[in-house]
Amino acid sequence: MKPIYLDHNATTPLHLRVRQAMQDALAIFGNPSSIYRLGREAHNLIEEARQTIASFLGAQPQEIIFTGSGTEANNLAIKGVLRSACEWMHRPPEAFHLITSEIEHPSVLETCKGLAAAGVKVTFLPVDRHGRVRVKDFVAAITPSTLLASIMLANNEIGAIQSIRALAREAHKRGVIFHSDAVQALGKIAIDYRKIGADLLTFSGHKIQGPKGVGLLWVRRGVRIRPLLDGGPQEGALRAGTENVPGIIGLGKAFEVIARKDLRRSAKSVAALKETLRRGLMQRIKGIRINSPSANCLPNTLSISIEDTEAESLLMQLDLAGICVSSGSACSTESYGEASHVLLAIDLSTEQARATLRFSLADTTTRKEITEVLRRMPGIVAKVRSISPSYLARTSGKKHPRRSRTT
Amino acid sequence: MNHRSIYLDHAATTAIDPRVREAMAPYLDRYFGNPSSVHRFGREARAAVEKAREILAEVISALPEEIVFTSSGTEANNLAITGFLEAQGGSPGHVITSAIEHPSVLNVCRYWSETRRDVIASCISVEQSGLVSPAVIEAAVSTRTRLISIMHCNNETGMIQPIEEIVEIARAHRCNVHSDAVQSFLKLPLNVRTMGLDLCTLSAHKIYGPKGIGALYVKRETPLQALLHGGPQEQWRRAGTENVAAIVGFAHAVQLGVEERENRLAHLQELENKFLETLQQLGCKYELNGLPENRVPGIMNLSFQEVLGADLLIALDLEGIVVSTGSACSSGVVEASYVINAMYQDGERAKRSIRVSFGKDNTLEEARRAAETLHRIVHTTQTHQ
Repeated sequence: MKPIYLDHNATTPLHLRVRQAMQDALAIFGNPSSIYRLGREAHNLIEEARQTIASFLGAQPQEIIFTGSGTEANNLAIKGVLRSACEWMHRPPEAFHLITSEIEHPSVLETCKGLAAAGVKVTFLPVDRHGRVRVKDFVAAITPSTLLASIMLANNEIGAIQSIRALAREAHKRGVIFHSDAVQALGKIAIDYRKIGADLLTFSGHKIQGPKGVGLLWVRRGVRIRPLLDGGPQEGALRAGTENVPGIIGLGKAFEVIARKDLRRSAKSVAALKETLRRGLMQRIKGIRINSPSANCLPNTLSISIEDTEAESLLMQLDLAGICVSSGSACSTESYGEASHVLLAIDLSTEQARATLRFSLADTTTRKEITEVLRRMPGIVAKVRSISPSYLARTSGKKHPRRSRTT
Repeated sequence: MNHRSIYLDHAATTAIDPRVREAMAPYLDRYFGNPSSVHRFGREARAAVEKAREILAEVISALPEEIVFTSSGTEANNLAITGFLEAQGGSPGHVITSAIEHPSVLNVCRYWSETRRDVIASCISVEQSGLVSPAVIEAAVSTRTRLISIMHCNNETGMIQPIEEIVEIARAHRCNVHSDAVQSFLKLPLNVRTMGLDLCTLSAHKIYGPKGIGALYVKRETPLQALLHGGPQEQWRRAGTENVAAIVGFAHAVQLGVEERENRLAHLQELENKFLETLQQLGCKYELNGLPENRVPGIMNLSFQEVLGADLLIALDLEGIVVSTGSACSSGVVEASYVINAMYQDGERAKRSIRVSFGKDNTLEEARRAAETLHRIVHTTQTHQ
């Protein structure tokens, strides 16, 4: 049987039309910066992609900066705004304050931690048990030196969607620049990105059936950033380097595919499949905790913790059964055996966090695949539990006295 | 592309080799996994990335863990310099570079020296030959010098820089050496061990590989801070999901380049000879910017009396022949080459220069036709002034 891929929050296969567009684009070879015809051809194709993307987002084409990844776009947003502010206000980085949350993607968290280590003041806001930043916490964290807030639109591990418009509004009322990592939201839910009112938004290609190696940052006109990569004048002198022509064309095509979709409808059908999966798992397996919030959640993301198991063993068994899911983020910065920062932030114990699986579906996921997962899961969980000291201790106290439990 | 056009701008970018495109295809299709995922899709992608890393490492005599994949040569140059300086802690010190470096080196050094009081960047001048003089480096180096960044061969003139001598000076003063080898890669021998480099930049799209992928060689134990923070990819030195297909394409382009190196080099030399001989036979007077020797075959920078490089470029483009002036700006404004200007201190000569760079798929017939067309345009322009 064909493997069942339920890890679309980690990466997605290329859409057929994207692949075709990229295969064609690989044959176009001019350097977009060259002024002769061949260069202009490449340049025009990039500008077409920029136009497609801008009109989908409701942006101006010149507000779109192509990058090498979502990670680079997040780095550029945060460091770019900070570096620029330092320059034109003639103040050191230590004079500024940033706000972010505890459940951001590592590319935001690590960037902020790095800046904090260099003397920048950073507030890492906690979230409630549904994985949401409380607006009142956010407002309370703002100080006169707050320059920028970066709060993700939707979380990659549990799927929680933030009250992003309210947060952006509060930020703007107080003169704070607002950035949001929208990588996981794109293509999964219908959003009017313009209406969010964010000053900077991050997107990535490979989460939306587009190519790896390309992302973008939407920088609203009037928001000043300083480039992270210096060199040539590409991307309005905000991101140097010869343009990844096929990557950008592929990204444009992936946006075009999304633009033609009825996202409300596909979200609804994906959510229905997820509900089938959730209910089926709850019925078949005891000791399941649902980590994804029931409301304000990505329709495709289901995070669960299974008592008395270890994600590593579950993943291995699932993989053998041809089922590909993950324990959390593929970009996890936690080393082997450590618990996810997102799950700890929504108050899971370390044990629970380490017993967590993330299913992330797509609109290509079939009911048959979900049925197959539900058929295989109980056996796999039982198998993993059969070697779990804590489970054995609890279910057959005599053979495995409680004191033998390790923590 | 118009099939009758003759592409002579391989130093700007090259057409991807169809064999490279083929090698990439499965990674745009079946093997789509995220290399950080633990399931089969992830493992397949991981294996491909690590195999590519081994290929690249072996070719330059490095260890696989010394290779960091980036999104471009520009990013690799930025990572080399910024990453190295930021890893120096409180006192980054002094950096030496040259006036003919790629903008991604020059502008990074400028940014550091303009924004940080604890960084001084010396941008040394070059000789008329287009060569960096080791004596000038020796004179510029001080006890505070941390890094010397000099390219392996220049992208506008093809002039090969005396890297070995520069490394010797660096060793004597206990500072590190970075070299941008984007233009020389697979044209000149590159053994990072025997050359004694600490950091070295490579790029794929100049060697018939894909755009959007580059690499930085980082010698073990060389201090380096990541430029992009986030996930643990590239051993914490460069966060972001790996561009798997492009990495596979890069490695395949390198393999082909190594296999065909001798033939390609000989062919480039033939093309260059044919081109220059034809110009000479036609009595076309040109000045070669740089020297005939110490130059990689296939990259030539020429100036013609009384003809602007920009005008030549456009006239040639109309005839289907693609060359470049030193630096093309995205706004379409052609500026005089800063490299030629740095060599001759002569803005006029810089404005009159064009760069002709041959590639493996050019034919001798193309070289001859290009020279004839060039001569005709130059001659017409000169006699009409």
